[in-house]
Amino acid sequence: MLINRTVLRFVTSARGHLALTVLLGLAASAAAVGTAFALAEVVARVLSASAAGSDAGRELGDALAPLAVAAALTLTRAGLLWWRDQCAVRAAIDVKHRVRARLVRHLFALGPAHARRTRSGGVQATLVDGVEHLQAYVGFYLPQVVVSLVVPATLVGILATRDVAVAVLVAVGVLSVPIAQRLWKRLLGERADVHWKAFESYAARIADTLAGIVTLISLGATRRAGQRLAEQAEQLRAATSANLRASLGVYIVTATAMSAGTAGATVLAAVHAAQGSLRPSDVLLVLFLAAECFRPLQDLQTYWHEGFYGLSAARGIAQLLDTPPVVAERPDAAPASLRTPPALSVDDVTYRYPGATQPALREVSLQIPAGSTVAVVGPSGAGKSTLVQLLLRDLDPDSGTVAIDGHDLRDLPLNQLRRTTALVAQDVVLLDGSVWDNIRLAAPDADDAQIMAAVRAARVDELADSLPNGLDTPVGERGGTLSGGQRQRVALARALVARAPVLVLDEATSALDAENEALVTEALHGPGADARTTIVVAHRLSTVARSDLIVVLDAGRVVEAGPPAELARMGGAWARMLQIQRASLQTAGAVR
Amino acid sequence: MSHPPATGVSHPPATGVSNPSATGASNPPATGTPLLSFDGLRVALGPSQPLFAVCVLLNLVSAVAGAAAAALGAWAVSRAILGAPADDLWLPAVLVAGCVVVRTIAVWLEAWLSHAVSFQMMARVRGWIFASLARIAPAGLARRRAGDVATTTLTDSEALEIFYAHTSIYIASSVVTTPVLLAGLAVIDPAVAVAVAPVLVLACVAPLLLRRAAIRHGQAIRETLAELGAEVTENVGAVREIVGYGLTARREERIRHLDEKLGRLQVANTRRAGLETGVAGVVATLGVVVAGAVGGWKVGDGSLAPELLAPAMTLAGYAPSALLQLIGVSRHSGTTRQAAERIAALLYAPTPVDRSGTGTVPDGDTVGLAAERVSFTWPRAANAMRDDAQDAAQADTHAGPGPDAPTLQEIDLRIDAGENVAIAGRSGAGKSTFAALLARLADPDDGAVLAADVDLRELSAESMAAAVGLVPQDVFLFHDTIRSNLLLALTDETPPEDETLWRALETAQIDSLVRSLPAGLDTVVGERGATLSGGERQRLALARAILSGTRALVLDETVSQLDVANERGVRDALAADTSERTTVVIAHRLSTLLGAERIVVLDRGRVVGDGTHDQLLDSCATYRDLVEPQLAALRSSPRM
Ligand SMILES: Nc1ncnc2c1ncn2[C@@H]1O[C@H](COP(=O)(O)OP(=O)(O)OP(=O)(O)O)[C@@H](O)[C@H]1O
Ligand SMILES: Nc1ncnc2c1ncn2[C@@H]1O[C@H](COP(=O)(O)OP(=O)(O)OP(=O)(O)O)[C@@H](O)[C@H]1O
Ligand SMILES: [Mg+2]
Ligand SMILES: [Mg+2]
Repeated sequence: MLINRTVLRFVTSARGHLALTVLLGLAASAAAVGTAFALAEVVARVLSASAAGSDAGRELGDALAPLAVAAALTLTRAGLLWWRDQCAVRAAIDVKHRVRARLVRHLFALGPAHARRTRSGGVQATLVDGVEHLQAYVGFYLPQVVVSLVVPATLVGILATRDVAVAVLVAVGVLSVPIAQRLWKRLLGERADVHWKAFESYAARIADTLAGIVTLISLGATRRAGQRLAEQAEQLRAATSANLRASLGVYIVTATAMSAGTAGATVLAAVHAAQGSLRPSDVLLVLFLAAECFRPLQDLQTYWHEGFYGLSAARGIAQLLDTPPVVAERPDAAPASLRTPPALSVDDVTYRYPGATQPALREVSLQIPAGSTVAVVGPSGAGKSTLVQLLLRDLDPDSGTVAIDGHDLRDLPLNQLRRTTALVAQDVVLLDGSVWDNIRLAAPDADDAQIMAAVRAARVDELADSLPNGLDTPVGERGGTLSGGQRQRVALARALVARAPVLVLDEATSALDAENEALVTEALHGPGADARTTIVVAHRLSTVARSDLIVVLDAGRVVEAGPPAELARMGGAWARMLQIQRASLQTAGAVR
Repeated sequence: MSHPPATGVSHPPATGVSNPSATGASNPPATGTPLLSFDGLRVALGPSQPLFAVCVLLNLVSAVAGAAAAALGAWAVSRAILGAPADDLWLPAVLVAGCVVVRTIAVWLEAWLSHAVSFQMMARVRGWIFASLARIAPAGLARRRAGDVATTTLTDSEALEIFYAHTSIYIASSVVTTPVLLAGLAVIDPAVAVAVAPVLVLACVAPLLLRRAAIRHGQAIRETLAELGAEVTENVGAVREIVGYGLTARREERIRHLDEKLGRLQVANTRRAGLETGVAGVVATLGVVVAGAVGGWKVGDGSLAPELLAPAMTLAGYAPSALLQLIGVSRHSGTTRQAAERIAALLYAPTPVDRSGTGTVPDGDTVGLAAERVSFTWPRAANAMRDDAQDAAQADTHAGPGPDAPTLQEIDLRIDAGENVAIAGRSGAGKSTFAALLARLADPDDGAVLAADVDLRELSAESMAAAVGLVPQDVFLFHDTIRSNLLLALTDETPPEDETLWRALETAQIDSLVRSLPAGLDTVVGERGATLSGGERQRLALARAILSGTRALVLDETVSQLDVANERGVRDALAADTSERTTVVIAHRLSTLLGAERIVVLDRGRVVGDGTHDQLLDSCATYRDLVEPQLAALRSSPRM
């Protein structure tokens, strides 16, 4: 039998419906057995009538009563089966509902850093298709396991009272099914794992290829990508075939046991009847009962196929649920009272990405005074975005501490931290909806005036003028129908409207033209600026020139930190960066 | 003014997009062919048609052998009851055993072969879908959510495969098997056969009567699942935003809502499907009961041998077996139909950019680019879709002026072969849109874009890819190794020496990073390149474009996330690169603009300036606004 522990955890909640499903399944089987008795009786009466050669008409009248019983029981069975289906589906829906809710919650609990490492297509496969596969497994396969244990056992018992040899024969046939399933179970388990992994990665590959289809077209690489998809499909096929070979083995054993068992029992019963050791009516009963013995097993076999996918999906689900979050909230985390705006400090922090050889940050220390604007600059790959993730606690340092107003971030509840901070990420992601929806979502309680203030500060008003429906224009998936700079401005307005005391801008104006950038920078330094602590990562001189403090990162180390004017005088890294900028413009005669 | 050659008319996928022999995929059915039809099946089967026929035959054999075994058994039993000696039972016993063996073999073979057929067909259907996606992207995909399209490729194709590889076998087999079994019954007794026939009709009628409801349910369920898929995908991509802005509860609620909707639909569906299960569960027994009644009566009046009553009843029980198989899968017919419709919507979607041209760019070193009175407006598909009454009402109250001006208007521009031109302009001016037209991701509404004086619409897909390369503003890297990401740019079947890859990486100034990675070129970069920094991703995409060796290169903000030193390194390396090429650089940053020989200024979709930095400072107000803040920052920063 295919039983999975993760699923069982969720099944307990649907106990009631499942128990009812089992009962109805048993009742339907009982109706079928009753029908078998009645039909045996019909044939027996007709045969005995014709054998006696007596008044055939009256004897036939006798056969009508069992025939009516058979018909009535058959209709009852139809009703019972209908009802069983309803219960089965309700039970399954209940379980799926819980599993999905848990998965989504866990997905969010795993946090942003995990989301960056995971493959969205795979998660979609688990959460949508995987959970759907549970329906047949939970609603139909599991209850049928009970039915196919109870019914054959009972019927073999009844058969034994009539003809022990036949009962033994049927019992052997019946038992061969669970034994075959047991024998194949380990193999199936492994294959199920392989199959699910292949399915998941195929799903992920499809999603990835679709997301990059424009790149493929402009590289003229759609054919090659199509081939690669086909190759991966081939891997999935291989995994599925291996899987099927295993389950076909069980299928063949079951099918053979059923047809050989029924046929063998029938012939044996006929022989016994001919020898006179079995009463005629019992022979017929054996004939019909033997078939009923195998019926639940046959149904189990049908559900097995679907249930099998449920089992492999369950492994995928278990795997996701068992993944620990990248940053976990401490059980004793308590909200701290923070000043508005708070100060931040990074003390001797080292961080290495899993799988990387070099740390992305080494022994980084820096102080970000309350209410100040601190610029983080440095070459691409220096570790600026990594530092941002540590400041927001998307990542925890390997060593050293990041603190807000003197409290280690790890001591605070994640919620408090996230309310305190707002980020405009380097890769802006907008949610499907209008421009307005995207800004509004950061502050459901803000009034329109507050939102409009943020809209103006981020220069979204200017862009709305050029959109077909102004602020109500849909932004498309991930914000795809906006230009790069428009997307950044919407993200900026969204962060501003959240009114978080700590604002982190990671290359937030890199796609803005200088005019808009100047206006945005102006607004950021304008009224209300000292109500927040601002961290700006940027390359453009104009974006960072007015900050209170400049931190220069290079290859994961802080090479310089101080007020811009001071650093410029010192002639260190920052001064050199200025010099290069100036030189690059001077050569073209732009700065005279 | 030249007009696009028959855009908007659908074409079979262009050569170069799908190569039937290479991918093992066949061409999709002719536009408009219903997928769930004999024609659809025939095309999907392709070369697997004989295998399919064998499956139908095996299904027939297993059904008949099963029925024969049971009927012979019943006959033996009846004879025994009626007093035949045990020795007379040998013949039926041997026959029964033979039938069982035949049936077992047939069942096993059919299971094997039908799965082989199904995999071949699935590969074919997925091949069609992908070729169609490549044909209609990006414009044809704009109104579809990515998660939704993924569902179609993955799950809908499975549903279609079930139809092709299983349902259709059962249909064919029911048509053949049922009459055969009924004929067998008629041989025993015609009256019994006639009486049982209506029961079989009942087995067909129930699903047919419920068909409409089945389709409706299937449609709603499928749509909800697709929505759920799209929602999940969006959530995974936006976890940072969702947890950062405290949206978790709301997003969980949205999923819960969809899930509940799905549950309600499935309950409604089961109310119907349960009827089918019920009917399927008793049809066989009903047949037995009817045969028992009629047969018993005929035994009574002496026209049927008594030992044939039980075999007749048994056979009557087997008569609907093929139909039952069919009911078993046709319970999903609604889902199948909806899946087929969604696939058809992709397969038969009109071609927004027809890449079936055959023109080539003359051989030579570089190509010049030109735009001739080009106008372009982005389709408003996304709006139109949501335009239900409520949204429209809201739009009226909130909307800004909502100008209907085209995104690009009458752009006339020549970029000579080998020239290095920069394009500047405010955010939203239409720079990336222009780049998209240069790379032919879309065709202009009016006017023409030319490469080496050939209209892009006339070029074959390969010549186009070889002529113009684009590094888009949002670079995309695949979840794969750096090597695979780079190799996408090359058409040759044999992969080049690593040396070639390293040279491209060096030109893009990303070689040292790649060398420092644990697996070097074989490092996997994560989804969308997530394990790299922003600037590293840009440089890797640049390296890929350089490797492709296109003769004109359009770089959309490709160095925006590099520091100035790095940016200059890239620029110098590109200039020193031996292969001559035309370069169009889109940038905001002054230092980048100054690297070009000529700067073109766009404003609200029009060209408003064209010249060198000094000329533009004097003549172009838009340009002055664009660069003045950057000059000011530099002037005010303290000198050493
Ligand atoms: N998830 C990850 N796994 C492994 N390495 C990573 C990951 N993310 C970043 N890195 C590496 O860590 C280093 C620092 O990356 P980071 O994103 O912090 O750079 P950055 O300073 O923000 O650069 P840029 O200006 O290009 O955005 C880079 O070399 C990058 O390749
Ligand atoms: N796929 C799209 N669908 C609909 N409208 C679009 C699409 N892409 C861009 N637009 C709109 O077309 C206009 C021009 O956008 P484009 O991306 O060309 O600007 P851009 O000059 O590149 O700006 P940026 O400097 O911010 O990248 C914008 O108003 C934008 O909203
Ligand atoms: Mg970064
Ligand atoms: Mg752009």
